[in-house]
Amino acid sequence: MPDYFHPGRLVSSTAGRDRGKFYLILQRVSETRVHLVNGAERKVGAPKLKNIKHLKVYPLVAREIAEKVASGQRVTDLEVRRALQELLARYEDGGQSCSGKAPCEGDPARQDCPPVAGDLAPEEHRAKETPAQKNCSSKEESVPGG
Amino acid sequence: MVPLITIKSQRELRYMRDAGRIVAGVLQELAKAIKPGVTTGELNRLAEDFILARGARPAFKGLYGFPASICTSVNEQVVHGIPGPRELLNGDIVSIDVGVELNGYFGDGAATFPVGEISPEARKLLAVTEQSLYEGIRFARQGNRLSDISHAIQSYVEKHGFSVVRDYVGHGIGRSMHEEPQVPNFGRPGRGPRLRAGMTLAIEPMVNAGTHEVCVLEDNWTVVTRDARLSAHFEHTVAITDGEPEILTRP
Repeated sequence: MPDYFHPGRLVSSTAGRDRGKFYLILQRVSETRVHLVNGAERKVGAPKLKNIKHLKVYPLVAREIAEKVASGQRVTDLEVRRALQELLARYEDGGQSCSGKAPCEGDPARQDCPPVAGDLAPEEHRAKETPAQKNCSSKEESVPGG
Repeated sequence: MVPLITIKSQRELRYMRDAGRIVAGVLQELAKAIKPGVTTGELNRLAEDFILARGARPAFKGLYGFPASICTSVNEQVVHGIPGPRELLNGDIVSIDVGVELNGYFGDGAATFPVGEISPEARKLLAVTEQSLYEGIRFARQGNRLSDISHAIQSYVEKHGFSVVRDYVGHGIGRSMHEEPQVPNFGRPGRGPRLRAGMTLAIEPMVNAGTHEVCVLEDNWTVVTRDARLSAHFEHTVAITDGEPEILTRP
């Protein structure tokens, strides 16, 4: 199972005094704990240690941060702040949710991509997701792959 | 910042081999069961029974709240598909991801299987993804850098016209399912920590037929390709040794 809690992942706190605050994961410290940064009050030099139980995970990753951490390069607070700002803007715009606005971003052909799941319950949604995806696919044939 | 990568002793590697053997057994068992008409929920039950019968624990169940024992990702689903009532159809491909804990040590493996007769493109995708895993494993040698593995995978996949997923990565494994270091399936060679004997990595290329972009369905788990084209996933738990890399998730 691929790792969710890897460097660069956007998360928010669900418990503690910092509840509701957004961070990027800087590093996994143990199975249950990660180091978090936001480039402001939680800087790269003094990251926040947090249990992953108390985090909400978002399907958005700051790739430049991830790549820098993976290759052992130093990440600056300015880079963290910029990456976090950019991810939050994307999140507000629909993020990587398949039903948000983001899937159609940057491509006029995708503008009317229908939401995949809507408000369906998980089971119901699962049974119906394939037709919705296919519908989306047919409108994206002009999008070059890879 | 130096990630804490654990080095396993011979004894620990023995435990991981035991866990890995069960992972491989589950995949073999499910390969026999996968055919048109079977549901992903049935595959989950089969896997869970197989694991429990051997005194092990399905490691995914409850991990970060995941509700099932295996991940079943069909067609455009990349990873983290939740088993349920969905029936597999002739021409589908299904990725099975299995994690096992035995004696406190973990094994993690995955494979994508054809359901009945599949299209030539799907067949090529499966072959390229599986081979890309072995291309990566070839570089899992003492003295190499971590990103040598990543680069080998990406180069092989892109040479064949497919793309690697960027937003989910392989990982270290041992006494936890997810340990340091992260093992991306992309990147320049010669970067990251130097590999040492005793490190254990779950190397897992996720390869898309179209764009590498992915998104997550409303269940907050299932990752699908943004262009709804097919995706495949192969994974082994691998130990770095003094010589050849050792695949721990073997029958």
